[in-house]
Amino acid sequence: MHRARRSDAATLPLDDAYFRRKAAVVDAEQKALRLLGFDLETPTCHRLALTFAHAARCSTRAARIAAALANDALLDETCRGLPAAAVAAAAVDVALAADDQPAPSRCAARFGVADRDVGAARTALVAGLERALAEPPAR
Amino acid sequence: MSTAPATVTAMATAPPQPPPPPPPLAAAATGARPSTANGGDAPVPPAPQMDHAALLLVAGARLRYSQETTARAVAFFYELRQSFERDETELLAATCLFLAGKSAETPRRVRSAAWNVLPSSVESRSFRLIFGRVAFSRRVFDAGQDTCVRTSACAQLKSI
Repeated sequence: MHRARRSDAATLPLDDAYFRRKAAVVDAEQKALRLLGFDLETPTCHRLALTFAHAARCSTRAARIAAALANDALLDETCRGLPAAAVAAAAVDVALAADDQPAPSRCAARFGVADRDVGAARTALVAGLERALAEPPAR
Repeated sequence: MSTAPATVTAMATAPPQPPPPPPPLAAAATGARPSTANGGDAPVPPAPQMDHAALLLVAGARLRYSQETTARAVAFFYELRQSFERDETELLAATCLFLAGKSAETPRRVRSAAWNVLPSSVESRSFRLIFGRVAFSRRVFDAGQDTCVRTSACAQLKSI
């Protein structure tokens, strides 16, 4: 079929390794689905960070920094162990501080997040940001 | 700054240990291509250690996932990591990327997820022929690198 549809292209050579690898991924997917209980709804801090930024009336630049901080939080082990709302609130806090805007309202408290978690996430985010700013560019 | 002497002391007193083998995808994630870097004859220097989350971020960018979809993959990975063997890390990463794409309604092909994560896919003749003959994959690779760098908060702050 591939050869018939695209006469200029060669037939794709598919060896056994290709199909073995595909089958391994599909088998691992079945195992993962059963381990997760077929529940793939995972809270992530990206959407919450943008929601908090909107609620705090952040500028576009601060909201962009908050989204980037939420992305960077994936690389931090401390932030990965904290609730997503706490990381999102901390990202908005740090973004507002970096953009010289007033401190936000405590949006995370409405989601039942403790101030201790927000503080821990803020500390981890600031530490990672200072470390990244001190390093020379990677490329 | 105050921890530097303690770190130096700890390194001096600790017994010498061989460096752990780098994750195979680290070379791809950092942009180094061992097969072309030195002609393929000289020993390849060990790639720097990378976090699995960083590998997933790079792979997600190469798959053109949104940041939230990649975040889902990272969450799945660290939730399921204890249930998989240590030598199945790359397989789990590919699976998490594949599942995250499905759950975010932006599915990708199995072979795309496997190619972007599984290092042994480079050894497969099929994968090499399928992906190696199109320059598009190289552009996607470089675009993924740029996306990861551009979306970091460090780059955002430096652009202010």
